[in-house]
Amino acid sequence: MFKIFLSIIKRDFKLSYRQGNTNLNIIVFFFLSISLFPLGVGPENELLSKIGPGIVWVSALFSSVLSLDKIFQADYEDGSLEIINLSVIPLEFFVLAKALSYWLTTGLLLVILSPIFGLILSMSSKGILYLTITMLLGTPTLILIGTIGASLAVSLKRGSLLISLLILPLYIPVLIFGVSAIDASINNVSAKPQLLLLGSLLCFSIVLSPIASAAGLRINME
Amino acid sequence: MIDHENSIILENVSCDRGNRTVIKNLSLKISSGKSFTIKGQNGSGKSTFLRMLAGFQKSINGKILFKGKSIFSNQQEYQNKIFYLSENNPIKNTLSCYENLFFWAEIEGMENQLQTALEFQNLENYKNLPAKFLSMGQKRRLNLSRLAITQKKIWLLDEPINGLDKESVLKLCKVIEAHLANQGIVVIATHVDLNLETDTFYL
Repeated sequence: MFKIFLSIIKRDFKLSYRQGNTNLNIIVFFFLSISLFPLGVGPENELLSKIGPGIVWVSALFSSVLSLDKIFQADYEDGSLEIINLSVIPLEFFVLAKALSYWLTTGLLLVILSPIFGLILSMSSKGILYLTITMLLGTPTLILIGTIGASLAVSLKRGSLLISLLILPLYIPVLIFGVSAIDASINNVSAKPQLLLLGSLLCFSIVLSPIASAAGLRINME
Repeated sequence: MIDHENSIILENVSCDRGNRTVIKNLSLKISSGKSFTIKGQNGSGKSTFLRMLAGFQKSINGKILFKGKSIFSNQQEYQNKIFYLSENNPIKNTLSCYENLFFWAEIEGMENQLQTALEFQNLENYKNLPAKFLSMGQKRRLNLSRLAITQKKIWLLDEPINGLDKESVLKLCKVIEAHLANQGIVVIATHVDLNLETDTFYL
């Protein structure tokens, strides 16, 4: 079963590499949305470093929603999903494989780029370190939660708005703990509780999101 | 010899789809070793019938039994026995024929049969070609190549010969006959007569 899990990830990697536009769009959107803030609120370093964590997190949140509606859509439309459902791999593992490959091709890039954005927003080195750690813990959670909305809207042609409405409220805890961990580190207070909470949210979403998403996909396959 | 143990039995099955009763009080038996063909006009419910047999349609009345047990009693085990060929071709345009087929072979655990699968529908010469350059018929052939790498017992084929040339249809019939000779179950939804010994049901 693990072999099939890996082959789904490998195939999605190839597809993502050959249809690179979507991933590039996400990175460009992330970059543009962060770059626009200094233009809007002014270039004062003190202000930017104060609101920086919030800016990066909100931008990451919107970037991750941007193409989530496509995560299952191609497989749903060409019938691949039905064949996977008839295979030995449970649909829950398929969801997990899709979420992991989506994170590796988009979320991980956001994590790698986040220190650069931290610098653009004049964040301290400690703030940048915690920004990267929280993004590393938070972005997979965002994608896993997003798969629930994507699975429910998979049969809709333009499901991205519905997905946003469904999942943005569920993103709030991740956003709060992510930003709060960075603020704590900047203010020399321990960020351990927030990081532990982000870790628990990730664990919960690894367990629960595939179950909920697989149920959503099964409903749409009827 | 017909293996009754491996038959699919429908008892008073009705199925609604989109506020419309597509199948009403249907009772029949699909035996292994002999193909079963569903015929009917467009929209008569042929695809719904196959989807129902695949266990995708849960909102049905009546019973569908395999080996005497409801297909929903151990759905995962039942569905693992099913090869489903839908009207769509599960082919990714940016992957080559080989890569597309390799993925499905890995899902089936039959990577060693890949060459046989490509030869089955004469696709060896196109194996490195991205699927976006294939014609509709070639895409169908690529999809049908999955039959050569499956070991599943129940084949549900929805309009399998759409877009196929005569030679490909003959090859398909041969592979179906070989599967039936191994006591497999084959259910085909089609408009066209295939050169197969078959029980036919009109919806």
